[in-house]
Amino acid sequence: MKIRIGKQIPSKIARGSAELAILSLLSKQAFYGFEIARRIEEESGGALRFNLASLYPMLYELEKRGWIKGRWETNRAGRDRRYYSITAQGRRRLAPLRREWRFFFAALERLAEVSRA
Amino acid sequence: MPDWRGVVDQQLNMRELTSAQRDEIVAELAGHLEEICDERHAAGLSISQAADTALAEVADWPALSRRIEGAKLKEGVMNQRTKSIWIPGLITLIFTSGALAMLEVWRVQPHVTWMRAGIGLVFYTPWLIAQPTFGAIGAYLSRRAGGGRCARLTSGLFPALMMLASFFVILGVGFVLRMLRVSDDFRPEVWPILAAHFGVWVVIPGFALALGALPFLGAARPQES
Repeated sequence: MKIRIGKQIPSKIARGSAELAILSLLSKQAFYGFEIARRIEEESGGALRFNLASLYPMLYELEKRGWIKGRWETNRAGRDRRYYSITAQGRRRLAPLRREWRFFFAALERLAEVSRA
Repeated sequence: MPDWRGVVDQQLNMRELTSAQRDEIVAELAGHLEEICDERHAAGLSISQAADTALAEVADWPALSRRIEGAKLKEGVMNQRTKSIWIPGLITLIFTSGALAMLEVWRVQPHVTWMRAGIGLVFYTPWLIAQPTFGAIGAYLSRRAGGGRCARLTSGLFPALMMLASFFVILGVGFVLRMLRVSDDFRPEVWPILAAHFGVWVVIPGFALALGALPFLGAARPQES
């Protein structure tokens, strides 16, 4: 199953999962927009996919909240790109976010087991 | 290769954002489309096919513009304006007022030029000489906060604009009092005196402030917003 973050699932679930995906990725290393989209797609085995229209409003939103910070740097190809890194505030937010999602999936899993039984 | 900056600039419509914010977003999105196009081209597509694939990333540009504006502005247009106009402008005003106050404290005598009809125009020459520096400070601080050209000029000219506003208030009150026949201080004979003071306290300092702001009005590379 593929989840396209954007119009297809414009719900709080998709939004929350996108936030978690971006913060988790940036907690390892700073990336610029295109790399963020590619890495998330690769690391989720193609299950999560951002396009330009869904990625940037989300990045700007997270930046405004102070969870990530963008900075212009030159990449290996010699092009100016805006690299995003997670802030201390973002790291503090990431831990409870992960817990919430684990709890959420565990609850869904239990529900599925009950319905199977 | 397509001019991605031109494409994005043409498609995005974000009037509420400052020019610095716009430039930064355009540069960033153009870079993203460029990478997709390069990637697809390297994978074997023709340039025009690769460009079409990249453009397919955005189905609805007006919606994207609104979402980006929403994401950037929810904190408030006021916030960006505060950072790029009000704070630099008020700092400039503090400098100009402080300098004038210091001249008073140090008892620096103003230069008085007498005009016909016995009108005395008061010039604080050292204060006027310092105006370009204050204008430069205001424009510089505004540029540093991501202000566009208009915001930088407004910040640099802020003290003169405040004086202009004061003049309008005084004129308004004077005319109302005259119409109500409460006071006749604003009779037509007084207008040349007001015009002369307007020149000394608004036009000349405004010109000097603008002179200082001028070097900071040029285009800068995308700013961190």
